Formats: sequence, C-alpha cells, structure tokens
Amino acid sequence: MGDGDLPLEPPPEEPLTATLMGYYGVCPREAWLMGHALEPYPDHELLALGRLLQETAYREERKEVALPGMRLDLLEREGEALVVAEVKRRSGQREAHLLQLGYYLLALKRLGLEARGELRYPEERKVERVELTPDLEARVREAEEALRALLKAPTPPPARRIPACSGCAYFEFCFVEEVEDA
Amino acid sequence: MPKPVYVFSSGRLGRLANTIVLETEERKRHLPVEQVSELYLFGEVDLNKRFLEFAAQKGILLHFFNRFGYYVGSFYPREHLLSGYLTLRQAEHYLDPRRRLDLARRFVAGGLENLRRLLQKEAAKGKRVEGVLELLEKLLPQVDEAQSVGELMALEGRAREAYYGAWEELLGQDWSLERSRRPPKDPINALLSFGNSLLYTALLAQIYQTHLDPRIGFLHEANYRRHSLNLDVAEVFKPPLVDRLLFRLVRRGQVKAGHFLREGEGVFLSEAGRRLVVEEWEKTLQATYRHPSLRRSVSYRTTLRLELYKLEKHLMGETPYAPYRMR
Repeated sequence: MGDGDLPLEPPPEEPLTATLMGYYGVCPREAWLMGHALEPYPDHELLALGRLLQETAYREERKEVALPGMRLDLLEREGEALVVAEVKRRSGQREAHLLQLGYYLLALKRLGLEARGELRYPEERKVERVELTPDLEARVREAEEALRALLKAPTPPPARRIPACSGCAYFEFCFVEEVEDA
Repeated sequence: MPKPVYVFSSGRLGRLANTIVLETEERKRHLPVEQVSELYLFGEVDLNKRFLEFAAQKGILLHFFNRFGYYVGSFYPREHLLSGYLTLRQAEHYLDPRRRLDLARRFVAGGLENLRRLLQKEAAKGKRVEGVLELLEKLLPQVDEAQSVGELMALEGRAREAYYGAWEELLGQDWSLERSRRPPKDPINALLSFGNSLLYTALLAQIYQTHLDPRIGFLHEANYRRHSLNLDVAEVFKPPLVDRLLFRLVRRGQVKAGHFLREGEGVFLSEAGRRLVVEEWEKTLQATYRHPSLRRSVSYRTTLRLELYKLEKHLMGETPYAPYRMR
C-alpha cells in the first residue's frame, strides 16, 4: 500500500456484536470480513440452510430479542432466572459458540441482568447449559480486546486452511488465485 | 442454485404469491422465484411496477433486448450487498490515476494474453495466424509501458483489429470479420454483438452477487456508460467464452443463413438464431472444470464470480489482481 491511502477504519465506538464474536471464535479473517460488511456469497447452500433453521427450529418458543449488538435467538424465564439460548446447526464449533453466548451473558450482566445460557443443537438433539463463570468471562473479555484490535487492521488476516474452510461460504473468496502454468 | 431464464415469447409477466407467472398466448408458465437469478427478455413483454418491486425484493435482474436482439439495458435492483469499506476502496482505485492505470493494464494484458492463447491453439490446429501472433507478442510488453488509459485502449484496439482480421483464416471467407456495431451489417457481426452482450449481462449478474459497484470501471470510462466494470472484466473472458463459442457454432455448421434477418442496413439474429446461441451459451457457462487453486469443480459462471473476488482482494490491498488465464 502506498501513499494517499484513505483512513478506512471502522468508527472508534463501533459496537462489537455477538455474532462477530462467534465468527472470531471460528476464524479471525471471517470476523474481519463480516466486520467490514463483506458478507459471503448469498446463494451458498449452508447459508440457506442456516436461514431455514432459523425459521423452523423451536418455532413455538422462539422470540428474537434485539439489544444493542445482540439478536438473541431465544430468551426465556425460568423462575427468577433469565435464560438465553443460542441455536446452532452442529456442535463442531462449540468453542466459538461459547464465546458468542458468553458475550451475550456478559453484555446482559453489564446491563445489570443476571442470566444463564443454553447452547442448543436441534439436529443433534442436544442442549448444553452455560454459566458465565469467571473463566468464561475472562475469555470473553480477552476475545473482545483482540477483536477490537483486529477490526482496526487495514487488511484482513491472511487466509489459512482450517477444517471449517470446507463448509465456509467464503471458501472461494479466500482461496481463489490464478495459478501459473506448470 | 438460481439460474437465468430466457424469455423469447411475448406476453405478460406477473406475480402470483411466490412465483413469477409468464402468460403468453399459448400457455401460462409458473417460475418459482427462488430458482430464478435473472430474466432475459427478448419478446414483447408487459410488466408492471408491482412485478419490478417483486424482482427487486428477490434480487432478480432483468435484462431487456429490443426486437433486433440488441441489448437495451438492465433492471439492477437496489444493491443488497453493500460494504462502505469496499465502495471507498473501489472509488479510491478509480480516482488515483496510478492505481487506475495499474488495473486498466491488468485487464488489457489479461485480454490480450487470452487472445494469444486462443490463437496459439488455432495455430496448433494448422491455422495460419503467425502475423497476428507476432503482433500480439510485440504489443503485450507495451501494455506495461502505456502511460494512460487512452493509450491502453488504442493498443487494445490495434490488437483486436488484427485479430478480427484473422477470422477469415479461422472461419472461412463467409465469416470474415470487419467490425461494425450499430447496426451490425453482416451475420458474423450480429453474432459477435449478441454473444458479447450475453457476456456483459452475465458478468453484471455476478457483480450483483458481490460488493462491487458495477458503475465504477477502470479501463472503460465510468462516465460514459452506466455500467462499466462488467465491460472491463469482459475483456478477459471474450476470447475463451464468447469467441470460442462462435467458432464452435460456425464450424459445426450450427448457425445457418436462415438464422439471420436483414432490416435496412442491419443484420440481426432471428428468434431461432437467438435461441441457438443462448442455448449454447448456457452450456458454456454451466460446463465445469477442476479449479487449480480451489481444487474443486467450478462452472464457468462461477469462474466469472471468482474473477470478481480476485478484483475485490486487489482493491482491499490483499493480492494484486491476476486475470483469468485461458487453458
């Protein structure tokens, strides 16, 4: 990059979002791209599946609740406690899902609300209870710092092959290049 | 995956719940909206604002052609993918003369390189095209020395003129080509104009699936045509996709004198002729090959989109744009 570059940083107070945190947990490059509104190919099969899941799973109890930087899949009351549930297709990226859910719980805590969480995998018929333990809170705070720094970088982190790549809607974007003739 | 639908007949386009209804004299066709990416309208089609709103909401592009098969324009729904970041980057590369020239050179070099490759394949089949090949070898290094977009356009024009001059050798006397556009004055010009407009619109539809702005081109002046980025990228793909398609159509004897109509000074494709070209064009775009860097099977339609991804990565400062190489 030469002289005359425009200062293209996100505005300093740009709030992080929980989804961005979830992406960050899987792939920092994906988080950077999404953070710059460079959504992936909209006709990708798995994206369409995700949209379908959102429309069909837990139809009865689903309430999408929007708070700054958050769109909660499910919000319920269990006695006095507030329960936040996040619905995912597969549990393969559980660590990233934990970060996203932990971010919800921390954000609610900052608003003065005590809540516990649930990770739900309807296809696997699995529900995991999640508490905002000091350990999870520390991990979320650390990821928050790192994500903020990442989003300020002028270019995304380079593409690296990870297992998640094979089903990712960014796969073609990340790995297309013109190969020289042999 | 949604696909383009080509409409040759005349009639009425409307919406019924979540389907597009095409009502013609003979029949009523229902097209599920999720399966349509674009509508190519060749016949006399009536539609209303409600239909346009439906198309916009579903992100469906409409391409209009007049009764001679000349491209009239497209309905390009309001952008659904917007990234302020990328828009600024694209504008920055247009406004900065050094960066714009760099990109324009890449498009021209990519186009000329593919012309060269096409002619090398023809030479291998015994066609006498040494003269044009020599000229291309001479012009190619000049691309990197060109100091303005105008100079590049002139270089490209010289190469193309010589290249079209060789079509008589490639296709025989009946198909010798002296370029004439508005209107095309013989069958080969009519074919080439029609083929190119299919490429321009196919690219436009892929641009719609990215965050690029089709109005900001680098080689083709952004001021003169509403969409110019698709014209830039088309330079790279004309030889492998359009020209090769025309060569096939002519050599297999698929296009015949009866496929052309004359009106005044102009020659244009009949409906049967257009159907033939469109059918073969779709086959071309749907054909797949194994992509060397993705190590996956991709179609040529996807290849068009991949080219745009490479361009986005160039604009983002990640990887300099290397044009698609014909193989």
